[in-house]
Order: sequence, then C-alpha cells, then structure tokens
Amino acid sequence: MIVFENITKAFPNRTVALEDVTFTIDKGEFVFFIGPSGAGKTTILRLLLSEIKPTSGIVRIEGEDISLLKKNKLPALRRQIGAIFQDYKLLEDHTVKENVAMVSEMLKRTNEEIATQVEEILATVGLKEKADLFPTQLSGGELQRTAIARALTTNPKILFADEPTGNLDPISGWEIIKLLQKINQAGTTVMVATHSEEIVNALKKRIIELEKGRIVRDTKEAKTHKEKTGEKKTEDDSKEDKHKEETQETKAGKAREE
Amino acid sequence: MKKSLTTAYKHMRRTPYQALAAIVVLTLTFFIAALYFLVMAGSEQILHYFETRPQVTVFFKDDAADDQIQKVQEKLSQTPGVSETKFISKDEALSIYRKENQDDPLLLEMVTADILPASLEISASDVTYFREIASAVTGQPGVEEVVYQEDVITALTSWTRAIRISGIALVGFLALTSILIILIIIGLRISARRTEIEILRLLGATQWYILGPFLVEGVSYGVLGAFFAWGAAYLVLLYSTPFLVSFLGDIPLLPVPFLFMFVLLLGMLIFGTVIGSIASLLAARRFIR
Repeated sequence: MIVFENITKAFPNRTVALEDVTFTIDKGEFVFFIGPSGAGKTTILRLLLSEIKPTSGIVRIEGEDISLLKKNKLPALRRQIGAIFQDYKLLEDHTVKENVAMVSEMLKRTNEEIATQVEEILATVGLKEKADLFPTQLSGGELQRTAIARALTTNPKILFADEPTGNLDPISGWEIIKLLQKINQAGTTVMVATHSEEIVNALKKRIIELEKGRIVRDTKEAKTHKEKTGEKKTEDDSKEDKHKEETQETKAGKAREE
Repeated sequence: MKKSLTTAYKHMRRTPYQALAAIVVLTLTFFIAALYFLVMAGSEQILHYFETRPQVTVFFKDDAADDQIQKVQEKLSQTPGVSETKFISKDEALSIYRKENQDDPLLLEMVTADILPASLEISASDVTYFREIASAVTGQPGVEEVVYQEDVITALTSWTRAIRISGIALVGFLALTSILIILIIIGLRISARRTEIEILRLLGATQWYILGPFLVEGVSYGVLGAFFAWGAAYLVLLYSTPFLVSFLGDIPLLPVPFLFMFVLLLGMLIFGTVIGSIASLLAARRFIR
C-alpha cells in the first residue's frame, strides 16, 4: 500500500511541484495520474523512488516512511519499484538484452538465470526478435517496451509508468496500455502518469487529477463519497454515462484500427 | 567483484588508447621511481661495504715487542665502537704487498719483510667512533702511526643521506603525479558515464556496484604500471650489470639477487594498488552522496 500524506514539495527555485497532496493506493490497484505538464506527476515518481525528499509530509510504502530510510537501504527500495521513465533512461551502448538485464545483474543472479528471465520478459513484451539491437535502432514503441521489460525483471510490487504513451502513435500507445493492464492483472500495483484523456476515459480506472501541484479530482474518493451518502443516479445520468462510454470506446477502437 | 572486473575490462576495451596512455604514463613514472630506488639501495650497500671494512690502521714500530702489541689489542677491546681487530705481521704484510704488486717485479725486488711494519686493522661499528678509536691508541708504547680514512667515509655517508632524502622526495613527487594521472583519467571516465551512473542509481544499484568498476580500473592502472616498470627496471639492471661490475671493483653489489628483485616487485605492486585506490576513490568521492 502506498500512502502520500499531506505531501508538499518545493524546489530551491521556489517552484512548488506538489502542495498538500494526500492519497492512498491499495495493493493491486491501477491508478492514472492525469494533468497538464508541470502538474506534479513526475514529482510523485521521484518521491516514490526517494530520489527527492518531500519538503513536508510523509510517503509510506507498506507502512514504512521512506524518507527515514538509510542511504544503504535505498537501492533495495528502488528495486521494489518498477519505474518506467518518460525518457526511457536506456543505455545507448547497451543492447535491448543488456538494458533489460541491468537490474538482474545487480541482484547477483547467475548468467543462466538472467538469460532465461530476460528471454521470457522480452517474449512477454514482444521484443524477442530485437534482443540484440541497440536503442538507436528501435522505434518509440519498442523503446517503451524495452523500458517496461527492464522494470519487470525484479517482479516489482509497484510499477510506475511516467507518460508511457507520450511519444507513441495511438496503436503503440494502446499496446503499451494493454501490456500494463496485463501486468496489473498479475497482481502488480500500476500507476500511470499520462495526459492522454482518451486512454484514461476508456479504461475506467481510478483517476487522480493534478493541477498546479494540487489534487483536483480523485475518482476513488468521489465513488466512496457517493457510496457513503447512498446517492442514486437518476435515469438521465445513467443515459448520459452510457453515451459517454460508447463514444470513448468508439474512439479507442478507431485508434486501434489506425 | 566479478561484475566490477568485467565492467572495468569492458570500459578499458571500449577506450583502449586512453587506457594504454594511462598505463604507459604510470609505467614511466614507476620506472623512474624503481631506478632511483635501486640507486638508493646500491648506495646504501656501498656505504655498508666501506663501513664494515677495516677503517683504522695502527702501524707498529719495528722494535715493538709482542706484549706492547698485546696491550694495544687489550685496550682496543675495551674501547667502544670497535667491532673487529685483525693483526697483520710483517710477513703477512709482505705477502699482501706481493699480491698487490705481482705485475711489477721491480717493486717486488726492492721490498723485504723488514721494511714493512706490522699493523693492526680495526673495523668500527660506526663512522662516528673513528676519532675516539684513533685517540685511544695514539701514543701507546710501540705504536708508530695511526691512520684512518675519516674523510672518505664521511663524504660517503653524506652522499648516501642526500640520495636517500632526495629519493624519498622524488618517490613522493612521483606518487603524487601518478595519483593525479589516475585521478584525471578516472574522473573523465566517471563524468563520461554520468548518465549511466544516474540511471543505475535510480534502478536501485548500490554504491559499490556503481563505483566498483571505476575503483578496479584505477587499481588496474596502478598495478599494471608497477609491473611493467619493474620489468623495465630489471632489464636495464641486467643489461648494465657487466659495466657496473667493472666500475664497482671489489664491492660485492652485483649481480642483484632475484629475491631482492622479487621483494621489490611485491613492494611496487602494493605501491601501485595503494596509489590506484587512493586516486580512484578521490575521483569517485563527489559521487558518494
């Protein structure tokens, strides 16, 4: 379980990236973080990896306040989180296979174990044929899948994908999302930062919307609130909802066909 | 450790000229240090040779009686700083004279045992006792003259001391140069791989996992430089041994025993390892946060 408790993050240049942000993500959940650029989505990932510390507030993973972790405990924390970065962060002079194997190599696994695992993961993300190519020889979608493959090597409990579809054409984007859904179905908590409303609306998952560092919408809380107050939808509301869903699905279908 | 070794090897393979330049520069630096060390060890040995040779000679009068000689010997045994005394009779003096001048029959004909004085050769444990020993026996009954080579030994001692001090300074200076060379090269390596280091850090690599290869690389340069320098210095020494042997004459300095060279190799490898570690740790210092 991930808990952000009243998190505020201000940088030395006085930019406030997050302001009093509070949310809880349960084990196995699939959550979208949406909002315009600079809303604070990437800051959430950086806080999660303890790359930066919050100015105030507490980040807890499995009940543990990660800002209290000692320096030598950070690597283990980071290996628990599969991070897929917006700019992929792949090594140019390493092949796809070597990039994917990077984290496994840190874990002192044998070469045979690493080779088998990398092969399996590359097959899962559909990159088996490209294993010996270098990042410069790959398309945007392939780069993104390599980054996902690398994030999966530690069987992470949490996967955070920062703009995984940002640089991709709609078809590749959908493939990536399907892949993330598959990972989520296997039990991994998946957090996706995106500004693609189309994908978000089509998937009907929890949405945390950020704007200027503040949470302006959290669909889970709204749902819980509705459930608590026993509010029932009117017939008109239901019709409207149904219409919305249909439109989104048509859009998504079109994108897939393209 | 294995991973660090393979990664360090990969880094060196990917930029072979940089690695080669580092090894060559370190080899030259260590080579000069090794040669100077050999000169230092040699000069110590030469000094030791002169110090342990009889340096004070007491010549007796022709009519000196045996008991007078005995008394001088007894007195010397009570004098501090005397490590050894050797009595040379007139006959022994003649045979030494004959041996030294065997190529010159004219000189041999003119000299008989009567002309040569009997003498006592004294070895001192340290050059500072010369004066004391000489004054203890001067003027004793039967003693004709006391001779000692104070100037030669004093000059040699001051030379050896100068070589030792300048050698330590030179080795220190060369060590500093080597550290700076490795520091610069490893620093360049680290900064060229800054992005990779950052990615590894974010993916959960430990400090040692990231910096290990750089430390191994720095130590490798030190060790390889030390090994090649030792080899080169040994070759130079072996090549110049015939010349040095004729130059040094009786001084038993050469050939240098292999054990000595082996100990020198070990010393240099340790020196190279220490220098490599210090330099690469310094280079990695700013990345240890």
